[in-house]
Amino acid sequence: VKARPGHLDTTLVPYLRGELAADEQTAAAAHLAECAGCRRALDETRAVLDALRAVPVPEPDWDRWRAELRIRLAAGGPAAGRGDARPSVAAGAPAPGRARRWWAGVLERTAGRRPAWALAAAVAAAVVLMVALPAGRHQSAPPSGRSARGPTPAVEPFDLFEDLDLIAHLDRLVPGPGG
Amino acid sequence: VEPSDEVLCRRTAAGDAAAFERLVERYQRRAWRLAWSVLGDAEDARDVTQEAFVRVYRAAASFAGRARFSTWFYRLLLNLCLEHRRRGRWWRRRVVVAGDVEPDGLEHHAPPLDDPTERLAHEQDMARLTAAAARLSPQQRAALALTLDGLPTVEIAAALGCSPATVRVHVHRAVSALRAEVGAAAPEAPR
Repeated sequence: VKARPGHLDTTLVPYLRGELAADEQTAAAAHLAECAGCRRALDETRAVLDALRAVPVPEPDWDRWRAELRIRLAAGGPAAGRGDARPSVAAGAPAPGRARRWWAGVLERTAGRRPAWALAAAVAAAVVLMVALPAGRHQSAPPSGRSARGPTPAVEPFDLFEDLDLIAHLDRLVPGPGG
Repeated sequence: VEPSDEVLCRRTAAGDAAAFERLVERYQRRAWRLAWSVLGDAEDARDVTQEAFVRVYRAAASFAGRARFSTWFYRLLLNLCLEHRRRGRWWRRRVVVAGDVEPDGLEHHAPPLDDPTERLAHEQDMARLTAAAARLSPQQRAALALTLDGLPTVEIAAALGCSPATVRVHVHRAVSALRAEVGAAAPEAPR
């Protein structure tokens, strides 16, 4: 990082961060000792950086965030709603392990965001389905993620759960052999 | 000994889901802060950070290991942020004023202040600062956010795809604008 002779402008922050080379740091300090304008600029720069660090950054609900990430990973293809943002997938990219689950394909078309009311409606619908599932409606689960192009109305609303663990638990409801 | 980011990325490329989870744990908060700083919108930040990790997962094999993983990741994330804005969703940007209740359950971590007067003044300062930061260019915000995150200038330059000198100009202009906005600031020193 090269210091300009004279006033510290773009070198104010590098100076504060100790990023200047030793001789430049010394030269800057010498200039600051003589230049009231740069001293004031330095103080104000420091104050602004400190204030910015103190600005509260809103945090998401991380459980929900991770659950949504899992949904997007399981979705396999381009993430929902991002058709023009295809990744340059490298050859040899790993096959997503979770996508092997039977519900992956179910999630595929519906991994986008939902308004809050839809979540509430889905929870209500899912409660009904949880009661219904042990009765044996679950045998049509697709064998692989890619085969879920057709309608799967009985299962689809489950993706609206924010917590995928809950979805995972539904596996237990799948009737056993002969079920 | 904890494996390095680069090792975790290579393991991710080899199909190790646990390694990927570890990378997510390490970077989710930093990614969020950066995306939020650049986009100024929680919903956009959510979208972009998740997409960034999806791309890491799918393209981990393309990480050559010449750069640090952090640089590679920040670059990927920043490209997504800028792309996101270009697609025209940035108008949804909201300026988050301290004390506002966000509709999506975000928690605002404000430093605790006991004196109500001091708190009010502090909140007003924060609001002005945040509003001023929202008017910076995305590149300026990105450079500033990464500076605040403690990333060296050369790494910020690599992440932004520009020279270190350009990073210094971005940061300088951003800080100057904020200094002027917060009122403390004064005219530039005479040349």
